[in-house]
Amino acid sequence: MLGKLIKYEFKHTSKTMMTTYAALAVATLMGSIALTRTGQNIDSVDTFFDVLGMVMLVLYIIAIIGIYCIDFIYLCYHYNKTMYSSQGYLTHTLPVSPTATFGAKILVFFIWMFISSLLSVLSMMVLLQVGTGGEFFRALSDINWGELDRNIHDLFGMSAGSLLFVFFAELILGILLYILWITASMAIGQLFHKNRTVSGILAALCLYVINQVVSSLYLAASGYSTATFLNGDLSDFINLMITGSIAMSAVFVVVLCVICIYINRKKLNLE
Amino acid sequence: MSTLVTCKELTKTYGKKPALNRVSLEIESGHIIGLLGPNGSGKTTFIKLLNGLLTPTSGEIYVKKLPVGIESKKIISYLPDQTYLNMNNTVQEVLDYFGAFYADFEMERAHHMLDSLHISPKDRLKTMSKGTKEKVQLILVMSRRAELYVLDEPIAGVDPAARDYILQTILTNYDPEASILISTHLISDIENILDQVIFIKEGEICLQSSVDDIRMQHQKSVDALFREVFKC
Repeated sequence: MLGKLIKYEFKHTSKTMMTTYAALAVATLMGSIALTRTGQNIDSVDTFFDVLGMVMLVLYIIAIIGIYCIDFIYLCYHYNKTMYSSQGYLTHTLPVSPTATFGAKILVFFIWMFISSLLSVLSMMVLLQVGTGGEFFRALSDINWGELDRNIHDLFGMSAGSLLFVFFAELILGILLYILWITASMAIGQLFHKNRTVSGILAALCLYVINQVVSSLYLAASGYSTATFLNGDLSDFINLMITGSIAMSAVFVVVLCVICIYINRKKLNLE
Repeated sequence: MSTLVTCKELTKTYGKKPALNRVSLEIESGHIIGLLGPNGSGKTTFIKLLNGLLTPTSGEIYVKKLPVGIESKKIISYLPDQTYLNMNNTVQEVLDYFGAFYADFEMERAHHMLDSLHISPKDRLKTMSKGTKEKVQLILVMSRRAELYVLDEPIAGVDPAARDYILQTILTNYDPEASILISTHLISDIENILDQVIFIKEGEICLQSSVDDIRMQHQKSVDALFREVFKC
């Protein structure tokens, strides 16, 4: 049943998501054209096309951020509509466990946001390639990886591979954290008889404050302060921050998951 | 005949206001039962509890001796009092969705009902009138070989001609071994198809009886008794 839930969740969201990805492709194309135009006359921004090119570049930056936000907001809206609004009547009367329903929705939400993140990075890389006149990827291939690995080790106290792993772990946990922060807020909001949206927003604020307070307490408990940061070893500090951030995110992801699953199983309230 | 639904001291409150107050009842298989009461009497709350869309404040509810859950959802076919489908879907897509999740869904029966109503499976739900959408939802619900059909206000928002069709659809598409629980306040329209009634008033069951007993003991129709019990 989980497979079917995932399949239909993809089916129900793919049209909108593909449309935003197409918009991202168009924005990348426009941005590339803009960069090509401005790149040709970098010293004199005095022609109509140069000004237009710069405007298009600014629009590209707005577009890429906007599309990412639209993806996230749309998926939040879809989740709320199919879990706690009219379509929730169908979702919650299917003969599947509430945990499977929740799991399928979160997995699909995460996959779409992960793809959105990768496509955004890819779009910026394309722009860099165009902006550097095709030098960006060539420069990447010319990198001395051994030396880079040593430099990274000196700076961060870990190998380049470990840093890449940390980057992906942070990306995955970061996306999951934001998704679950919103879905847990929605789940808490629907517990209330009245003003559910306001309750959901207040729940989101409370969860955010708790997250910040716990993170600050962690740093304080680790014995780090501004003074130790200024006087201490940078790689130690970075290691502490990275480890702490990953551990903290993982703990919050688990806690928020438990909140969502508990409410969906035991406190569903489709009034 | 076996017991399908058992409620023990079932209570649901919204804030401090009780929507259902210590309701205890049993529903047996093989009946068409009217859950009757005025607006706000607790009918929809009871139905939502039965379908797991609400959790009770206290008390217990069992379907075939099991708590509400996956197993009860396999045997209950539920028609809510509002549109619950994705309006961007075509009728065929919704049929496929039901077919994928409900083992007792009969695609052929659904197509037969759609044909008889001249509804194309290719039509998108958002292009349909409110009445047609309600008919599609009823077709979906009645195309299942369920043991209990729970229909919340199935005739409230449609014209009298459509009401006749809906009642006819219900009667001709349910297994006599199954039960149908119909919630409504439009008693006169459905009285003829009921064989049992449950009167619910301010969250409490005030009468559970067979229609024949009501006619014999009170010498009244269900509609007349309803008007007497719920007189303002």
